[in-house]
Amino acid sequence: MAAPRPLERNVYTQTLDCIHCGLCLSACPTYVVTGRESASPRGRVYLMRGVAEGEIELDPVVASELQLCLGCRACESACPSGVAYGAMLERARESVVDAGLRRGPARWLERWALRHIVPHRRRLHALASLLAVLQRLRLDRLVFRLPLESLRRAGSLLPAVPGRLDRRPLPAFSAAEGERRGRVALFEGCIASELFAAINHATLRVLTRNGFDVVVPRGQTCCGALQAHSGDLSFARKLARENLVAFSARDTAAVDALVVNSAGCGAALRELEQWLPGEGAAVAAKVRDVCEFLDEVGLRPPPHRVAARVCYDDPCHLIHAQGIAAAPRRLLACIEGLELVSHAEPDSCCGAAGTYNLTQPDMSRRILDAKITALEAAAPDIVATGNPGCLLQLQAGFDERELPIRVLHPVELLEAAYR
Amino acid sequence: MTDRLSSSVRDVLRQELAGTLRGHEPPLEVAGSRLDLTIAPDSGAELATTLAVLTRESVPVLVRGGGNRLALGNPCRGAQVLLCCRGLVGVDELDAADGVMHAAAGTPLGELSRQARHAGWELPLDPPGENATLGGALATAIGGPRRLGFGPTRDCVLGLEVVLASGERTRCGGRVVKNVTGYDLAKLYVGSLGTLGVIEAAWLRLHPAPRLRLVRVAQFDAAERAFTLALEAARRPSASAVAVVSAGLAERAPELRELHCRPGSWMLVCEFAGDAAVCGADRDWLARAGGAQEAREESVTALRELQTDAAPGGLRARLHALPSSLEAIARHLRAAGAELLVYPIPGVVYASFAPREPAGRDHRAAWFDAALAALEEAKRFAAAEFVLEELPDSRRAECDVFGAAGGSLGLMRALKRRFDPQGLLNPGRFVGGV
Amino acid sequence: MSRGHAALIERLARVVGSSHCLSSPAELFAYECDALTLDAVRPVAVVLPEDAEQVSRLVGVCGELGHPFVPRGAGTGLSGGAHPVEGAVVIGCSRMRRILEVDAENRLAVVQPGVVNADLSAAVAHLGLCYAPDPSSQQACTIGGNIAENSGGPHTLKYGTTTNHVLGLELVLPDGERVRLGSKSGFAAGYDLVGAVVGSEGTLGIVTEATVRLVPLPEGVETLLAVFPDLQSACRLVGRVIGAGMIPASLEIIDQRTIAAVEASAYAAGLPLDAGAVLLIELDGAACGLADQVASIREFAASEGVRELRVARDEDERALFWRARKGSFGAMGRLAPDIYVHDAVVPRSKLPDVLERICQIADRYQLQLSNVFHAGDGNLHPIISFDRRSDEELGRVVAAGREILELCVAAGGVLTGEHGVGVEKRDYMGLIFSAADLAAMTHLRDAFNPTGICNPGKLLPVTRSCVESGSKARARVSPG
Repeated sequence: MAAPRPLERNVYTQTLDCIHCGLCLSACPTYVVTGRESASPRGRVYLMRGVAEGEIELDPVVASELQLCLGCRACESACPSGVAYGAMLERARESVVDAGLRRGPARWLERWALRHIVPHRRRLHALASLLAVLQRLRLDRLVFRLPLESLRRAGSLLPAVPGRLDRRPLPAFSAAEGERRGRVALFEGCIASELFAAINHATLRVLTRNGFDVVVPRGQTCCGALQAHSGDLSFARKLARENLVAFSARDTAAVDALVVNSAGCGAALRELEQWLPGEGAAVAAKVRDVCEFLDEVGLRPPPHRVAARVCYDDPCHLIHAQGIAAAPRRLLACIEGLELVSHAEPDSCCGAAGTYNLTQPDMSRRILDAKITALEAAAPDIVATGNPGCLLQLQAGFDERELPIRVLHPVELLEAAYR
Repeated sequence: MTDRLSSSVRDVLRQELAGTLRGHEPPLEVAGSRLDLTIAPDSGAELATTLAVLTRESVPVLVRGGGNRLALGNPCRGAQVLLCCRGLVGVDELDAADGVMHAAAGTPLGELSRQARHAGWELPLDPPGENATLGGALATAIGGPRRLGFGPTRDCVLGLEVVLASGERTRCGGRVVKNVTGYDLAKLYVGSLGTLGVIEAAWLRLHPAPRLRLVRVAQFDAAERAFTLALEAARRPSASAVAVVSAGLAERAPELRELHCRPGSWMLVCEFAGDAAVCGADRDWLARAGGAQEAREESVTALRELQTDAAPGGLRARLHALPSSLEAIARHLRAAGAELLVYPIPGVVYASFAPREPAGRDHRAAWFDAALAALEEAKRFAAAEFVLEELPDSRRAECDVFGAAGGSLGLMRALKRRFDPQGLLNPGRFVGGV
Repeated sequence: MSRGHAALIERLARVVGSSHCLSSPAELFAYECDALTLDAVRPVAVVLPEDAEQVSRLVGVCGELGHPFVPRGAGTGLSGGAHPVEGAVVIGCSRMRRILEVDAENRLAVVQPGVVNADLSAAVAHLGLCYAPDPSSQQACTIGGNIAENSGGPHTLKYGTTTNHVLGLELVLPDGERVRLGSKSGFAAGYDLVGAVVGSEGTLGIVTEATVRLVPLPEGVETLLAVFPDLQSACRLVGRVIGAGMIPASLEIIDQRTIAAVEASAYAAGLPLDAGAVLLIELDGAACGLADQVASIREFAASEGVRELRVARDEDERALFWRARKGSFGAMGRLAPDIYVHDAVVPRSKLPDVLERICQIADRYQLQLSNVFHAGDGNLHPIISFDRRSDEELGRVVAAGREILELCVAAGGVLTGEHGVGVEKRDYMGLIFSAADLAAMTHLRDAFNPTGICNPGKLLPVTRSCVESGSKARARVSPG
């Protein structure tokens, strides 16, 4: 029997769910920019199907159209047939890597960093400390001399590393304030816990202020989303297993919810079942985005005013992958003095998309430009969004145009209202 | 092509089309043609035979329905036979459940309206002309005052049966209310002045008969107020007819004269039709805006005839323009001496100029040139288009009443060539001599 | 790159730039069909121009080198209107997506053909206006595609189809000439060429700019859901409503088979599985006129034996009512890899009888079929779920489709109400039109497109009067 064609085993069956109606097209940022059917969700699914059926080769063009996808999953929200596009994309990208269609130093560096730096809290911490020193000495500008475009872009995105105190580890247990309403586990994340240490601390405080004991299970690691999106599914599965163990420990399993404050991580953890069939369901069922959770249990009215015009921009992995759009807006509306203003297409991608802004800088830039233009027109003081990648991307976009707009996580605004 | 029908052809026609044919001696002079014969088929099959024979013998024809709008269009060049379609009469289906009807082209609109009303529906066509036929209404596609509520002529046409110049009987569209099966040829035939084929019958979409009609009028000295209010009124949910009439023109219709229009003012006529609650709300709105004078339904139907009103030997034009430019056009043409009837939606102005001096046979009338210049000026500043509907015969030869057709004339000529290769149907009457 | 077409591709790329001229096998593969998957042909090139000038030059290149060209919007069409033919160049309008002008005072907009239908309505919503034709694919389909197909939608009963909303066009003719048809006022002397081009399925040229009418957003909306024990009584209520002189914005029926499919899918809207049919009624217009209409409908529905009549209390409930209607295609899509949606129209009074017989046909061919349709217009949408990888099954789908069409035509109906003829139904045209009728249509096509270079093989039978062959699908090899 002949060897199976690429994508035949891992993707093909799912491609048949697509009825080729095309309703996803206008929801796709890369289709909107390029106008190319092959850079649309329907087109990509059709390419996957074509490869699996042997109609076309898994060639560099197919690979590059798959790489050009942001993985924002706006198409899933638009799809009438419930096509599981995100899952198909991860598997197809794995096949692209297996077929040797992603090579070169940039790819090597990406894979190395995602395997050997990102999931290791101590290495990340050390790297962040080094970066902090470089930033203080203004040596970080040197990054712009590096030969790799993706590294230069990374350099331009990096925010100032928070102080060592802010980056201290979260306590393993924090007690509820006031009347106790329950107990939750908190997912820390990887890079964000260093670069956006304040968000984790804010999440912790908002949860305790709302009457929840918070445990931060040791042994948890990176969620694996970045690795999966880049085609390294096997490593993503390894990380998923580690997390499964961490969150299945006896004291942790008893929590009301596993609270996540990063949309990307939340989406990945919710889909644990896909990576670890038959095992991940129990943990996945407990996953809640922090805004979703607070909205569900009922937010304790924050006592202080936060006078600001705020635009809420939906992270793709919150609205499209988890279907959460109203909760964060409702929470922000609870803050006195905060004026929630709307802007055009809040549900469209900002172009961050994990490591996308590093691997596809041109497309990322074009998508970001449209987003910044839409936000600028609404003239907010603050843009709130609940995903680290989006926070970096949007802030870099505003800074570049020298707009006095700050980008914050909704829990940071909530925390300010409790302070 | 000779001027007169040769006696041999005449004999052939007499032989093959006996019973429907009548000779004229001296020839009948109609719309620029001298016609030797009238042929009046009374069935679709006869119409088809007639056209087949005429085409075989290369005889140009002038097609006539009710005969109301024969003055419309350019002079017909060299037609020898008058093809009268008034014999094709009858409603052979009226589906009261679906609100659709099938009727032969020569049926008078009055008859169709009556039958529609009887079945609880309304025929959405109200062109001017007492004895207008269905075929004529479709071929000219000129709306009346209720065009606002009815929509353009073409909207009520679901399907057509058309006999081509070759004598072939063809169909397009159908009897259902929604249909994209094949090219929408009905759009081409409607408004084509019979130059592509002769309409034999049509499937029509009827409108629900309104439960209530309310007519209100108001008078304004300031054009600005009249036109602003007219446009707002026309955009009310139950508006079925809205017009602004200059006082001088209103005087010419008894139904409007009785409302005592002040000289120099503008009369706004509004009709609301349909649901009682909605009509009532719109009536109250108009009353608050200053239009409370009650009027009879006849003041709306009177507008229809004002569309074709013209001083003997005068000039009447129909302008089409955007609603926002109507006031400026109206002021401008009024200043140039025209009497006006304006439908704010879809933006139509009927401007009629009376001759101011006796037009001698050899000296050009200055008033005519001035009127034409005023129309051209409106065309320029308001991006309007105009069609001359009535003008002194002496002037017909020297201008295309439709103006320049622009870049699409080539396509129109190509269509004419393919549908009527010998150019026998209403030759020269349409745009650019088509 | 297909080697034989290097010269063509080089010439095309010179017009649009190489990044907008697609010629690799994978890129071309993605253009081999639109939302009709019964048939597929790979084009030799795909070009994505950004303005009329480029379209005109591309058309010129195609003419010079003798390649047919096929206009394409978003490729959401269901009759194969954007299917390439052998040797064709696809000219996609996906990059021509600018709204050029919005004139709120005169209620019109000037747009490029690639503007997405729903985007136009969204862009004018703040002015209290919208673009009325709302095909079910409005979130993705383009105005240019709508013009080609004369698209309708659930709200055409009251607002009409695309043809009622187009005032003027700029068209690139098959010889590359650019012409303007119609005008902002909607009037242009001469033949109604705009009316002829709308619905011509891209066979008369490529629309490069459209002036369209905008309508005010309705002041009030009422949405009702009537649950009936059988399809007949739902149809009777439709007749009563129409007969009483009401013109609801939409009257949509969902049959029992569809309810079953929808309720088993992610689009479950809580419809009772034992209901024979559900009728969705939407009324809009002046707020003061709606209460009376709702009361009349209540009365009619009761006398027709309605089981339950729900009136949406708010926007959320309204969305829930529409959920089942809008999710029905997707729900049917989950039952098998492909769906085939028919689009015949029959006189409203014939609906119950025709529907029953359509179900019998499907049963006889052992096909999964459901009916969800625009009852107010008599526009049926029988949806067949199938798997194109099985030639045998495909044969049954095509045969059943033909029987369904013959049935509808016999009832006084037509082949298509809003999806177009395309390649799918072109060979059935002989069922309702005579050779002379089709010859007249050919006159129109030939006047615009004398060489036949523009979107060949669509709308008209390839050889006159041929009713013999249905659509043939390319045999595909399934893996495994």
